[in-house]
Amino acid sequence: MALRIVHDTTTAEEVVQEVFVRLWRNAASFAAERGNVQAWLYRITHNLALNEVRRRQSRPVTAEHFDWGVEGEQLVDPYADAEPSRALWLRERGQAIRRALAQLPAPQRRAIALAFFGGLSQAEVAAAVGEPLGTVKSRIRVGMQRLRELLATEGINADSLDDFS
Amino acid sequence: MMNLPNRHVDDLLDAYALGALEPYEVAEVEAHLEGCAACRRTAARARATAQRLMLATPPVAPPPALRAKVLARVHAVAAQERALTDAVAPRVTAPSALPAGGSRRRNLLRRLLDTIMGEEALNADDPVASLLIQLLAQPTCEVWNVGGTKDAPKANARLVGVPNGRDGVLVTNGLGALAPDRTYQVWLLHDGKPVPNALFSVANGGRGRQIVHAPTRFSDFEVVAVTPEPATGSPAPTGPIVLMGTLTAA
Repeated sequence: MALRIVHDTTTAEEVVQEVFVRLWRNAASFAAERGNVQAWLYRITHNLALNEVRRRQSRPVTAEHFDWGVEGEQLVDPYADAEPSRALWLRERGQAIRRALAQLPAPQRRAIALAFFGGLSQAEVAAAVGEPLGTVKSRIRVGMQRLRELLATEGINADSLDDFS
Repeated sequence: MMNLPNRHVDDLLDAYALGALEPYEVAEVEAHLEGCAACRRTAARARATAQRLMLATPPVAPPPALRAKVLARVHAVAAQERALTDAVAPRVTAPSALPAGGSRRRNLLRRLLDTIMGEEALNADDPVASLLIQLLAQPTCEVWNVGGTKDAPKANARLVGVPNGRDGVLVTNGLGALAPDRTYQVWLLHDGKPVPNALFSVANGGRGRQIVHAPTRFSDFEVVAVTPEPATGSPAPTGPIVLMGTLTAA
C-alpha cells in the first residue's frame, strides 16, 4: 500500500521501515487486542505514506494514480508464500473492494481516491478536478454511501472489521 | 464560520473518515462526537468504510532486501533507545524504585518519551526530537507541566528544558485549531512581564512541538504561557491565555 500511495520505491521502503519500528515500539500494547494488529498496520502505513506525500509535495496527485481496475496491477505474486486458501481469500477480498469501487460513477470514485490516497482536503480535491467545492463535498458523501451499499452486495459489512485478518 | 457544537455533523463524517476535512472542521466534528452517540455510530461506519479502501490497494511483493533493512532499522532504534535509557532513566524516577536490569528502565524512559511526544514517533533526524533527547540526557533536565486554562480546559503541555539553559521544547496537546490568520505564541514571564517567544501551529488533536529559545536562562523566568495571536505574532499578548505553567525546579 505504501508504494501505491507514494509511487516511489525508496520512499515506500522508508515508510515500511518506520511502520515496523512503530510496531516494535507498540508490541506490548497489542498483546490484549491481537486481532486489531492488521487493521493498525494498514492505518499506520496509510498515515505515514500520506505524511510523506504531503511533506514532499513533489508533483501533483491525479486520480489516475489510484485507478487500479478490478484485477489490480500484479507485477509479482505477493501471495507466493501464503497458504493457498488464504492467498485465494486475500486476492478475492482485494478484488471485491476494487469491484465495488469500479462501480462508482467516475467523478465520485476520483474524489474519494484523491482524498483518501492522495491526502487532499475537499477544497484541494475541488481545485484538482476544477469543480466547485460543494460539488466535491456532495460527490464524496454520496459516493461513500453508495460504496457502503456496493460493499454490502459483495458481502462486506461496513459495521465490522472482521475481514482485517 | 464555525457551527454550533450541538449541530449534528453526519454530513461531514464521510469526509472526516477520509481525512479530507480542514482542521477547523475536524475540531468541530470531534467536539460534537464527544457528546453525540448517534454521530459516533455514524462515524464508526464511515471509518470502517474508509478502512476498506486500504484493502483495495493491489499488493506488491516487497523487494527481497527489504526484510533485512527493516530488521536493521528496528535493531538500530532499539540500540538507540537502550543507550538513551541508560543515560536518562536513573533521573526520571527515584533510584529506589528502579529494580535491577535494563528492561524496566527502558520501559520507564519510553513511557516518559511517549507521554511527552504523544503519538509522534521519536525520530533522531527531527530537530525537535533531537533537542528533546539531548535535554533529557542532561542531569539537570526539568519537565515543567503547563496546564490548560478556562479558555482551553482540554489542553495541556510540557516544557522540557534545563533551568540554566536557554533551549527548550514545548509539547502541546488538545489545543484548538486556529483560523489561518492566527497562530499560537509562547510567552516567558519575569516579574509578571511577558516576553514574546516562539510562534507555533498545531496539528489535528491540538498536538504541537516547538523549540523555545529563551532570551536568558529559563531560571530567570517564573512562568510560561501560550496565547492565540495574529499570524505574525505580537509584541504583547492580545489573546486569552490558553496554557500556563510555573517554571519552578522540581
